[in-house]
Amino acid sequence: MQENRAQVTRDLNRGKLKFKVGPFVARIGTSYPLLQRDFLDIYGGYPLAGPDEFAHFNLKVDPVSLLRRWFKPKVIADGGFIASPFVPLPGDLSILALEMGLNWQVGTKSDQYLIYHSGVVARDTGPDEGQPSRAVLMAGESGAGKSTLTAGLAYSGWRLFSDEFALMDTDDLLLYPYPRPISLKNQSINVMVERLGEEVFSRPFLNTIKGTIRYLKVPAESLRQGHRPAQLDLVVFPNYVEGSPGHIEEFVGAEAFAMLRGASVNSDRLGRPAFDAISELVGRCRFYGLQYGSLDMAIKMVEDLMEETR
Amino acid sequence: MLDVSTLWHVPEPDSLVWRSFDSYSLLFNERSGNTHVLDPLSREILDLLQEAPRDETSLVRELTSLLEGQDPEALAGAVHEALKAFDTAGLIFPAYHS
Repeated sequence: MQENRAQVTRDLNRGKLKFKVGPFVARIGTSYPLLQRDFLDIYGGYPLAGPDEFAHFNLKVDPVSLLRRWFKPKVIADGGFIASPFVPLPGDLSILALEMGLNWQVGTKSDQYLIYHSGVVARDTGPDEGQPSRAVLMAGESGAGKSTLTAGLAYSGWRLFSDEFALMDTDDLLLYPYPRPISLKNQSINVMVERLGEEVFSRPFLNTIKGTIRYLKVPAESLRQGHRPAQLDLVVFPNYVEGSPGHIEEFVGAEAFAMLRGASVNSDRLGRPAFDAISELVGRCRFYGLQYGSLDMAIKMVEDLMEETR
Repeated sequence: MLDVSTLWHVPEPDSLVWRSFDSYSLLFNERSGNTHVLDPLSREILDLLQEAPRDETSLVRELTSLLEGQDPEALAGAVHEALKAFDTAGLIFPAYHS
């Protein structure tokens, strides 16, 4: 996308930009120049889709009116819903409208997958695509630190699958990558900027409902391998507690089932296939609650646990 | 309040999908799409109702003889609560509805 910036901008203006993200093709449109710049900044490395490829999602983000294009700009996402679930946002935060719009579409229109609200990273066991990669899924409450841990692992030799949604095929129980920029908030931003430098971050978005947000770009290797699935081996529920010396608690049986099912976005809609899939995962994967006091501690916990589950 | 003389049964038992983990059982009800976690006593009650319709009194009697040494009053209370929960969840119906 980066090498065709002029064409990409034209396609955005016409609402015809199609790009690939994991197993999906998204068609995006916006005539708002600031959003076009922010979009290219964090999605510049994504592959474009051909004009005839089926678009799974359609999303436009534009000013709410001509007046609000120029005066105290306000934008709103339009995903083609009759009753739009989206609210207008200040023009400066238009990339958030786009991100929320895409998230909404995945969460509500992708029932070919069992979806968990979670981060996922995977480690390739070899260069051969026939060898399954091994994945760890990180679920938990918002603010528990799963995005920070996902980001830390994604830049420590693991392949980023997603910071937001784990996509699982209920037939083979494989996870499919859906690598999108990682939304980091407040103190997490400083932690990661210190580790990775400024270059891999978007500009800061101030005064959002969750404070300050910066998007961490997806590592190039994770985009290159964006088609390669992984087998889920480890499920963790991270919880950052300042000053914690670290604590690991294992969950088994019905408790593990309830926790993983609680992380699922669409198990109610999927019904029996979701029940069967989660039951099988409980028998096959290991589940842990991780309390951690620093990112390095959490990364080591995950790496050690993954090693033990071999 | 449930009537202790109501005969309860499990409609369409084939629509219940079971998985057992440790001492707990997971139950997916294909009729409602809901998932339930059952402790061993609740599982036993539902198993008995799947075998044949029973009322609360006969359930308490059978379980008292099965679980020797249990406090009969506590057991009767647990059976009553389990039946209320099953009824609310749509897992059991009065037998005259069948």
